[in-house]
Amino acid sequence: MITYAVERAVDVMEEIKPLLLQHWQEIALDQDKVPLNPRYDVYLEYEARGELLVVIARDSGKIVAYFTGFVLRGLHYADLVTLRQDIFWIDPNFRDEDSLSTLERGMIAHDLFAKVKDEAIARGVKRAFYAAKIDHDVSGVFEALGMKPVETYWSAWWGE
Amino acid sequence: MRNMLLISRGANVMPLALQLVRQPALFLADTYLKDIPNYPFKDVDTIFLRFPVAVKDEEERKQKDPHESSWMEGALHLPAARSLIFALMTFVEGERLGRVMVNRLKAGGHIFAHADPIEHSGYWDRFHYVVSGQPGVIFRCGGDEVQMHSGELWWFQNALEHEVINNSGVDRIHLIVDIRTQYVQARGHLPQRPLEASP
Repeated sequence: MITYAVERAVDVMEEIKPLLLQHWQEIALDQDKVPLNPRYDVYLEYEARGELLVVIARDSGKIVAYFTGFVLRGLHYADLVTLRQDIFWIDPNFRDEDSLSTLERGMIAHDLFAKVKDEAIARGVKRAFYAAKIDHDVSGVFEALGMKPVETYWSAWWGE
Repeated sequence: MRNMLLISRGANVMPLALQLVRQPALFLADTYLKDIPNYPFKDVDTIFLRFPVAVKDEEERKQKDPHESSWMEGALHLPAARSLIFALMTFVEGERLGRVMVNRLKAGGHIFAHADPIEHSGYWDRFHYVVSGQPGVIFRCGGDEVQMHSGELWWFQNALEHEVINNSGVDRIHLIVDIRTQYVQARGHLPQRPLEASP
């Protein structure tokens, strides 16, 4: 059984840390130059202000997916509450959509983002921004949610 | 969130948790609720600390106060519950103590959606101490949905439809306390005072 719930970062942080490492190893840019070192204190600051949304999917208590995002009034649009995705991840063992016997697993992305949307709307969010990496393109997930591409991020390494 | 209220965190539930883990047979001593056909509690084991005493017949039922609960044998084996119960009575200025139960919902279990009868839920306020609650237990009441954690104390509106899914991998154990708090006339005013005696 997989359930989805809004949880507090302060409660779930220690559980997520090892999963973050797995997540980073799978998709992060410039891993040879930039070690994973999250600013957990800043996440907690956002949470204290009510600006952090964390949704966790669990299977018998074990985290199998997570979404984190920021619920903010826009810097340019103070009247608009926006959800900006930070990260999301689904346990690789739960990504298989090929078999009827794993139908529940195949629904994880759909159900995770449905929970995110419900909670975001309850918090007054009117617009959402999600991101997909070019090298790990999950834009199909966002298209299935009825979203459309609106902006492209560019990056360069300027370090040594 | 309108139907549930987190009252406090950090209640010392460990003495009660220890008494429960040392006496697992208590959960199987009375399966009254679990055995009711088509009732939402088939995955729940209950220890009755206070509950209405069974009546012999309809005549006795008519004469009895339906809200009166008595201490049951379960309470003798769980003395640690008393400090939690009476601290709560003081905190909410309770005027009457009703049913008190310890419910254990097994891992993977489900308390199916139901609303408690208005005769009961309209008279009592229902409180839950979380003796053991791990992430993955989802408690829904009306449109609200929360995860309750060990040591927390909650109130919720049990007149509304509610259900619980335990997807945590371990038992979910709650101490449930019904308390009647300040009584207010249905019309929103207090009863009139007795007429003062004439000089």
